[in-house]
Amino acid sequence: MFLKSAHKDELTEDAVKYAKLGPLILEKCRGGKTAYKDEGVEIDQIDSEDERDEKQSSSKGAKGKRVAGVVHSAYWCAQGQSVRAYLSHLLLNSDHRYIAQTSYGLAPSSESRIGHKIQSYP
Amino acid sequence: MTQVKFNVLLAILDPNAANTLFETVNYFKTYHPQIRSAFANAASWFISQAFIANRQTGTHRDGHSAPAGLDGLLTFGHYQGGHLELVDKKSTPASTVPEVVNVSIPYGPMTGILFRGSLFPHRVSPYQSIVGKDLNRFAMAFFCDREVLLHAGFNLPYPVPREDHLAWIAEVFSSGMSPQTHIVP
Repeated sequence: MFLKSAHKDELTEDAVKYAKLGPLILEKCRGGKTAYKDEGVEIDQIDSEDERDEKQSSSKGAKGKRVAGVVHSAYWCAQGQSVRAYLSHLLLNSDHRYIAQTSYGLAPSSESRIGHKIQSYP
Repeated sequence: MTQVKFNVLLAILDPNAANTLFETVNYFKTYHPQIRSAFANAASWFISQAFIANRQTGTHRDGHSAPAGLDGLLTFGHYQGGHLELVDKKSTPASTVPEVVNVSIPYGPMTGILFRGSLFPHRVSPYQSIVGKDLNRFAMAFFCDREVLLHAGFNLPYPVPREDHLAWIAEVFSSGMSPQTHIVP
């Protein structure tokens, strides 16, 4: 796959580890109920909200279209996890619709740390 | 390498913003040892980043970005369409006053863009996957996060001064200086 090959050389040991965790995190995002904790990734908050996307809403889930449904958000932070490793693991898990963000203090528990947020879309 | 290229582009287009981000990264490396390792392999001066997978982003402004900062966008995948549209969004509800597309920028795979995301309402037009899976469009966003700058004690005034920027660019990129070389032991 294009993305996998383009970034293969940049993958770190951490990235490989998180590549395996990525699908689990996303599943937990979709479930929106239970926290996930394993190998340095502890989701500390999960939110769910119903999003209606105005006129672009479609029950058919068309290609490239925004669709109405429930958006799940998960927040976590991990000391020592590099930003690049985090993004690299997401590149490997591309069969989803999501927005992942990383920033200083983004997660509720990430004061003085790098926080991560992932929003999974229907 | 992509992240380094955005650093270079930012330094050329807006040296003051580049210098501010550069110093911000150094601040975190110096005064926040608990997150220093998170930057060990990070070449980007943009601390806030996002990865957008298979989503056609609706009209929005990047509210967390500094108005005087430049945000970077980079696309990947196999798709066509999906232009970046800068729109004139009225303050009244969108349902009564339609958005006016002022600029439609080709935004195909491997396109890099720097622009002021907090000032200009923008969105992505519909796109179609052209190879393999339906889900095949990805974008990375590099934000000039206002809160991050303020937390580090920096501000980004507007308008952006441009004095001496050529000298600064030459100093940074001719000497091989980079954020990695300024990690505090």
